[in-house]
Amino acid sequence: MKTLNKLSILALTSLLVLSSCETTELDLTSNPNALSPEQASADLFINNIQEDFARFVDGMGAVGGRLTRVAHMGGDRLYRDNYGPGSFSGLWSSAYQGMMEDIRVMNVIAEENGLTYYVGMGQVMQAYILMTLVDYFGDVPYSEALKGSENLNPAADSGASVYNAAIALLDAAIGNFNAGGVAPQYDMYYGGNAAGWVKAANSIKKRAYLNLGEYSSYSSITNYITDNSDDFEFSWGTNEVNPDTRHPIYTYNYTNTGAGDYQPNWMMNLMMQGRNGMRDPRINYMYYRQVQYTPGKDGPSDEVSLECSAPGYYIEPHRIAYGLYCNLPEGYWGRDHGNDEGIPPDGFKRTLMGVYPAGGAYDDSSYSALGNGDGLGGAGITPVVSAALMHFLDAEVAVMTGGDPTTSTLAGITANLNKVDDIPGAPAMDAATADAYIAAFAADWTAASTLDAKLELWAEELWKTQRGNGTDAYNSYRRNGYPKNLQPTVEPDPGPFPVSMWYPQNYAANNSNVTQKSDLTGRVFWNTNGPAVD
Amino acid sequence: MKSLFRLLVVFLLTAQMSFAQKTVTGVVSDSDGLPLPGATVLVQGTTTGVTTDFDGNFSINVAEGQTLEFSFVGYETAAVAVGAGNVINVTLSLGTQLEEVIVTSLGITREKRALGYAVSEVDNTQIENRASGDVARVLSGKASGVQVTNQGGISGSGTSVVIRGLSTFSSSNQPLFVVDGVPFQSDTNAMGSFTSGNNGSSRFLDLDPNNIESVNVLKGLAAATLYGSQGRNGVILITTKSGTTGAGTRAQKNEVTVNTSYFTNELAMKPDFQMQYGNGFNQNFGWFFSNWGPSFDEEGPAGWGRQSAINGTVSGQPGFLKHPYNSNLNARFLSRDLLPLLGLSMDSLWEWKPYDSVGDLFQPGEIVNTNINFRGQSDDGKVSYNVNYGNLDDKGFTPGNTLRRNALSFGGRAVLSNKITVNGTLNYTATDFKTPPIAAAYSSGSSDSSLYGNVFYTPRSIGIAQLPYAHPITGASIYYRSSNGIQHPLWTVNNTGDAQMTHRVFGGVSAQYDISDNLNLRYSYGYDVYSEDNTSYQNKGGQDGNLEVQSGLYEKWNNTSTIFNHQVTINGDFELDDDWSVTFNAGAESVGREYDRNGVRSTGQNVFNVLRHYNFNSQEEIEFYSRRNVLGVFAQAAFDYQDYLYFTLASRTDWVSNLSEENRSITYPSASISFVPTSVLDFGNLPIDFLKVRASYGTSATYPGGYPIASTLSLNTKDFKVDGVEVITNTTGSQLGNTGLKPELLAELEFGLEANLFDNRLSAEISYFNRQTTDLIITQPLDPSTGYTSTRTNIGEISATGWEVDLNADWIRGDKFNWNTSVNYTTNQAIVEDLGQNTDQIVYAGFSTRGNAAIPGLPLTSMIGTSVARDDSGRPLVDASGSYRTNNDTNYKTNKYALIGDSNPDFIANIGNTITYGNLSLNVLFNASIGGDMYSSFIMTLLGRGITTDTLDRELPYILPGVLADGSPNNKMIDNATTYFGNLILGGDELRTWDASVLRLSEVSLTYDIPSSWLDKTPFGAASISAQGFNLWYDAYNTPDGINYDPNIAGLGVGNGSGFEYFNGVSARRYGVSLKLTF
Repeated sequence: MKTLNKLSILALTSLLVLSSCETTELDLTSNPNALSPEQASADLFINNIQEDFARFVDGMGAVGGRLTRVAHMGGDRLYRDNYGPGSFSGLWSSAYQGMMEDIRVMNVIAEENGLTYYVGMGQVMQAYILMTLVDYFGDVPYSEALKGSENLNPAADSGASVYNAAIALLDAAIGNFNAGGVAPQYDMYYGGNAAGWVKAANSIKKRAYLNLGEYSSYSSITNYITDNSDDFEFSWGTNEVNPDTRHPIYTYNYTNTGAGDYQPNWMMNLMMQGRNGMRDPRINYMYYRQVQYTPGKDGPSDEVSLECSAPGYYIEPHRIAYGLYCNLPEGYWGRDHGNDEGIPPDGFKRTLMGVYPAGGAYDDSSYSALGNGDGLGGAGITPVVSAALMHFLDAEVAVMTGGDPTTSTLAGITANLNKVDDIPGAPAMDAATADAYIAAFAADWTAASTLDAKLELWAEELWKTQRGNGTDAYNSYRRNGYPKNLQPTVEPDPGPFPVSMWYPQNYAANNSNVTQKSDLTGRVFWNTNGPAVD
Repeated sequence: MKSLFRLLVVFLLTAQMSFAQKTVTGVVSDSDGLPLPGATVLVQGTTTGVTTDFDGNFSINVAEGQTLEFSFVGYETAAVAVGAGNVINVTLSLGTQLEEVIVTSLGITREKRALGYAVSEVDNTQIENRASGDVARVLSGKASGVQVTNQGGISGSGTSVVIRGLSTFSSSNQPLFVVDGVPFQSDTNAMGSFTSGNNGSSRFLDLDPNNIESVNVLKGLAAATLYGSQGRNGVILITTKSGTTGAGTRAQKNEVTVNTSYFTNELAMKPDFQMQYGNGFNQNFGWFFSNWGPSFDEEGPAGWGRQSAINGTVSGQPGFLKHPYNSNLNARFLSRDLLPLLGLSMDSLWEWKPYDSVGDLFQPGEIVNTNINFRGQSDDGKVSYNVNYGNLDDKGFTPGNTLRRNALSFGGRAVLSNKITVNGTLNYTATDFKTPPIAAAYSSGSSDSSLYGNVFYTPRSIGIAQLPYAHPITGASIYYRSSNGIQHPLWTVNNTGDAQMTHRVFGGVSAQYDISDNLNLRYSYGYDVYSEDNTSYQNKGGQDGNLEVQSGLYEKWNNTSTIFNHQVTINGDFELDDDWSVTFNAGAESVGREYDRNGVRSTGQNVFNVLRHYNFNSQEEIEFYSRRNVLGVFAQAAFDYQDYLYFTLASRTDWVSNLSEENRSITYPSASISFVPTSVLDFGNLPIDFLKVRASYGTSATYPGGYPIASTLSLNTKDFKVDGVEVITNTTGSQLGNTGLKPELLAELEFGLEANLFDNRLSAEISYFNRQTTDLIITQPLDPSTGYTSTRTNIGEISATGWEVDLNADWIRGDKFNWNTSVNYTTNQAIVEDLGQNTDQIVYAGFSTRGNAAIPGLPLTSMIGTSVARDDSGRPLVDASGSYRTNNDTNYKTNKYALIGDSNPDFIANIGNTITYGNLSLNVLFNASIGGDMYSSFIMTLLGRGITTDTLDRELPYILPGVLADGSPNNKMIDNATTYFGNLILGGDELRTWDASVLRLSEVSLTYDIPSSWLDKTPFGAASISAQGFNLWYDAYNTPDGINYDPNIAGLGVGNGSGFEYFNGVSARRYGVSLKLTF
C-alpha cells in the first residue's frame, strides 16, 4: 500500500498542476449570499429594530385584545387551544433573535461612534419588549440570554428581576437621550425628537410601576405622555407589495376575497349602546359595515352566510341569558366570543375593521363591499403607549390611592375621541358630537352610584382605546378585573381564562432549562393576587 | 480487463503472422445472425490468430487437423476442427452470467464473480422505447434496492430516486449519476418550495433513455468507495451508446438504428364522482365549495323539489337555478351591466345537474419520440464513433403541460500509434418543460395557484367549462362562489405558468497511455454544464396566493450549474504467480461544483397579460451562489486466487472546501471478499451450477452543503418605506455558525449470496446490508433567546438494514417458446438510534407541525402531526358535539407532535414476465409496494366535500366510534357533512393518513420482430414493432375505493420528505406503439 500511497500523491500532484486553482481551492467557507457580521451598520440595525418592534407590539397586542373581546377570538372553543405554544414562536424569535440580538450588536457599533440616541432608542424598545414578555409568559431569560454558543440553554430570570432590568434600561435610555447624540436618519416614532423618547421611557416606567403596585413611584414621574402629539406609536403606509408597509390588521381585513377577520359583537354592541342613549361617535371610525341589514336580525335569514340567523339554530342557554348572541342589527355583523364555526362566503358582507387604527374605511353608511386598497389603504397606526392610555392609568392610580378618577377618565376619553377624529383622510368629528358624547358619559358616570359601577364604565372606555394593541387591556383586566359584564364564550365550559400564556414552542422545546406549563392558570409575578377573571 | 489485454495481444500478433498451409475463410456471427466484427480466431495451441472484419469475415492460414478457437467478449468460446473444407462459419452463443463482465466504479470492468458487493444491471432493451422520457422512471421496478417516486403525472415533473432507503436527513439521499465516467448533475431545482409551487424537472431528464446502452447500479458503500463522499447514496452508472465506442464492442459498419414511438398520455384514473348530490350543505343548496347539497332527483327528502332556489320559486323554471353570475357574484367583481359581454343576462339560468368538470379539463395528450443512432468504426477498428439524436415531444393530459427535448450526442475513440488511446463524448440537450402551477393545496384553496387543488373538488353541480373564467374587461378570475373566493381553474390554465428551458452540455475526454502491456496511465476531464432558464408568472387578477401573487407576478431566473472533474489514474494488472493475480488502480481527482442563480422577480402588473419586467411596478433580485471543491486520492487493489477467491481493498481520502481546516479531510476505506465454492468444491449431484458468497465493509461520509460554518448578516433593501422612500435594514443572521462541524460518517456491512441452479434455469441473488450513520449533521433548532434560531451540529446516529433479493427463472427454454420470470424484492428500514440528550424530535421535511420527523427509536421515515385524543385504554375521545377531539394538550406539554404514520413501505416487489414465441414477445411488469403511510390532502378533500361515490350514503346520521369524556360509548348523532367535513378536514392529521399499499401493472409490451427473410428486399437489417402500455392499472386497496388514489407521489418535492401529498399528484397512463428499424 505504501507504493500505492506514493503513486496517489504523485497523481494528486500532477492533478494540481493540470487543473486550475479554481477547482482545487480548499478554503471556500465564507458565504457569498449574505453579508458577514463585521459589515453591519448601526443605521441599518435601528431601521430594522423599529419596524420589527411595531410588528411585535401588534402581534402580542392582538392576543391580549382577542382574549379580552377588544377583538374577536375564534380559533377554538377552548381558551387553552386558542393560542397554543406554536402561535408564539414567531414573536419569541422576533424578540430575542431579531430585535434584542440586533440591539446588542448595534450597541457595540453605536458605542464606538458615540451614537447615544440610537442606544437610547434600543433601550426603550428593549424595555417594552422585556416587560411584554413577562406580562404574557412570566419568567423569561435575560441575564443568560444572547450568549450564542456560550450558553445554548439560557435559564429564565424571575419576572421581577426582568422588570427591574427593564426599568434600569429605561433610566439608562433617558440618560442617553439627554446626552445629545445625533438621531438616526429614520426615527420612525419621534422624528428625531429626543424629548418624545424621554416621555415614552417615563410612560413605560409608569406602566411598570402600576403593575408592580408602586403607586408613589408611579406618581413621582411627571414628564410623560399626556398629549396625543406625544403618543408613542408607529405609522404604517400604503405600499402593498415589496415591501408591504400596510397596517398588519389591514392586510388581513381588506383582501381580494373580502374581510379576513370578524369583529367582536361585544365591543360593537358596547359602542352601539353608547352612553346615556347616545351612540359612541367612534363607531363609524372603528367599524365599517359592508351591508345595511343583518340576516335574521333585521334582514331575511340566510343560512348560507350567517348560520346562526337561521330559525331553529341551537344557541347555548348561557348566551341567551347574557342577552347578546349571534349578531347585532344594522349590518353590525360580527361574531360572538369563541365562535369557531367554519367560514361561509360572507367576506363582502360582514363588518370590517374601520379607519382607526388599521387605516381602513370610514363608515359613511355607503354599505359597499370593500377589499384591498379601499379606505386609507392600510395607512393606520399601531399605538404603543398613548396619552389616552396614560390618563386611564392615572385614573386607576387615583382609585388605588384613594383619589378621584373622574378627571383622568374624562381626559382619557377626550384624548381618544380626538385621536380618532384627527385621522387624516377621514371626516372630522364635529366638536359638538364629541362634547355631547363626553356629556353623555359624564351623565352615566354620575349616575353610577358605586365605585364598582364607575370602574365598569372606566374599563369599558379604556378598552375601546385598545384597538390595535390589546396588551394594556389584558394587563388591566388581570390587575383589576374590570369590566365584569363581559360576553361569555360560545362554549359553556371553555376552561379557565388564561392569566398567562403557554411558553412559546421554540423556547419550551429547544431549551433544556424550560418545562412547559401544565395549564394557563399560573399568574405572572406582579399579578399573584389578582382578581378572578373569565 | 484481462480479456481486453488478451485481445490487445492478439492485435499485436496478427501483424507478424505469415505461415501458409491452407486458407480457411468464414463468417463469425451471433445467434441472431448478426456478424461479429473484431472476434478473435486463434489456432489452438499456437499464438497464430486473426480478428474478423466488419462483416464478421475472417481469413486464416491453418493446417488441416488443427483446431480453430473463436472467441469474443461476452460470448462463449467455440472450437472447430479444420476439416477438408475451406469455409467455416461459426455462430457464437452469449456467455452465461458467470463470465459476465461488469462495469464498476470509475468504469473499471470486473468479472461479476469477483465482486464482493451487489451491483444491479439494466440493459437497453429494458430502457428504450419507453413512453416516459425520464430515465429514472424508466428504471423504476427494474433493480432491487432502488425506490423511484414520481412527483406526479405532469410530464417532466421531478422524480425522486433513493437507493437502500434514507441514511441521513441533513442532506440529499439522491444517488450519484455517472454518465460515461463523468459525474452527472441530477439535481431537481424546484420553482419555489413545495407550498408555493412544486414544479421543476430532475436534471437526469436531460438524458435520452433511448441513447442508453446500459445502466449499472452500485448500491452499497464498498461498491462506491472510489467515488468517495459523492457515492455515499449509491451510484447509477450509465453508459450511453456514445460512450460504448471502441474495440471489443459490437459496433457495426455504419449501422443506423431508428426508434420511433407514439403514445397516448392520459389521466390514469379519474375519481369515481358520484352523480346523485350537488353543491350545498346538509342537503340544502348553497354556492359553497362543498357538495353536501340536494339531490339531482326532484323527489325525496333531499330532492331539489324542496329547494326554493331550484324548484322554480326563484328562477321561474323548475330544475334551474339563477345563474351564479347574475345572482351571486359580488358587484366588486362583476357588475351586472357587464353580463352581456359574457353572453349572459339577468335572466340567465343554471341547470341543476351533474357536470364533468374534471373530464372536461383533462384531455389525453400524446407523446412522439424519435431516436436516430449512427455507429461505426474504421476498417482497422482503431477509430470508432457513435452519433445519436433524440427528439421527444410529450404533451401531458394537464392543459398547459408540455415537455420537448432535443438531444444530440457524439462519441468517438481512437487508438493512436504511440500507445495512446483517446476517447471523447459530447452531448447537447435542450429540454423545454412547461406546466401550470401545482402548489400545495388543502381542503379549500392553496398556498399559491394550484390547478389540481382547485379543480378536483369542484362540486358536481358546477361545470367549469360552462362558466366564463375571466372578467370581460380586467381579465381577472371570476367564479361561481359568493365573494369569488376561489380561482377559476380555467383562469389558472390561461393566466399562469411555470417553464424551465434547459440547455445542457456534458461529456468528457480521456487519454490513456499504455506504459506496458499491463500498466497504463489515464487522465480524464469531465464537464457538465447546464443553464436552466426558469419562468414563473401569473397575470394580475388571480384569487390564490398572497397579494403579491394576486398583483401579477413575473419571475425569470437562470440557474447555471457546473461540475468540472479532473482525474488521473494508474491502472495495472499483474499475475503474481500461478495462483495469485492482482489488478490495481490508484489515482486522484478534483471535483468542483458551482451553482449560480440570477434573475429578477417582478410584482404589480400594469397592462394585463404583458409579461415583461417593464410592465411591473417593482423588481427584486433572485440571487444565489455556491461553490464547493472536493479533492480526493484513492487506490484499489483486487486480488484473485485460483479463480475462486477474490479480495478487494480500497480507500479514498477527500478534502472538502466548505469546512474548517481541521475537519476538512476524511478517509474512507473498504474491503470486500468473494468466494465461489462451485469452482473448488464438488457438490456431487446437487443441482447447483454456480454458487458465490460475498461480504463487504464500506465507509463513506456526507459533507454538508452550502456554507455551514459561516455567520452571516442579512440585508434588506426593501424592508419598509417611509415617505415613499425605501428603508434599508440589516439584521443578525439566525444560524449560529459552527466552525467545529464535521462530516457525517457512514459505515456499511453487506453480505450476499449468488446461486445458479437447475442447469442455470433458476438464479438467485440475495443481499443484506446494515448501515450506520454517525455524527449526524443536525440543524439543531435553538431557543431564540440564545440569539440564534438554529445551528448545525454533529449529534446522533441512524442505523439502517435491508434485504434485496433478485430471482430469475427460465420456466421454459425452447427454440421457439420461452418463458422467463424475474422478481426483485426490496426491504429496508432506517431507525433513528440517537439524537443527542436534549433532542427528542426533529422535523426535517414538510411543515413543522406536520411532517417527517427523526425520533429516537423510531423509523427515520416517521410522520408526525396532530392526533385524535384517546383515553387511557386507547379509545378515541368524542367531544360534546359528536366529533373527535384533537390531542393538543399532549403536544403542548411534550413539545412534540404525535406519530401519525411511517411512510416507508414494508417491502417493494417487482415481478416481470417475458414470454417469447418465435418472433413475438410479451413483457409484463407488475409491482407491489406494500405498507407505508400517506397523508393525503386529495383523499381528505374529496371525501370531506362529498364528491365521490364513497360518500353516497349520506341521508342518515352517523355516530363516530369512540367514547365520550365520561368513558361511556359515544351516542352523539352527527350528519354527513360533520362526519366527513368536520372530522376529516377539520380534525386531527391522523384521520387524513391512509395505508399506501399499492399494486400496479406498470408495464406491458408486445413486440414482434419482423423476420429477417421479410427484410431481404428492404434496406433494413432488422425491424421490430411493439405495442406498449404503462401504468395501465393500479389499486391502492386500503384507500377509499371511489378516489382511485395513486400513492406514488413525492408531494413534498424531490428531497428527504415522504408520505405527504398536498393535492399535487395524479398519475399518468400511457400506451401506444413503437417501431425500431436498423439499416
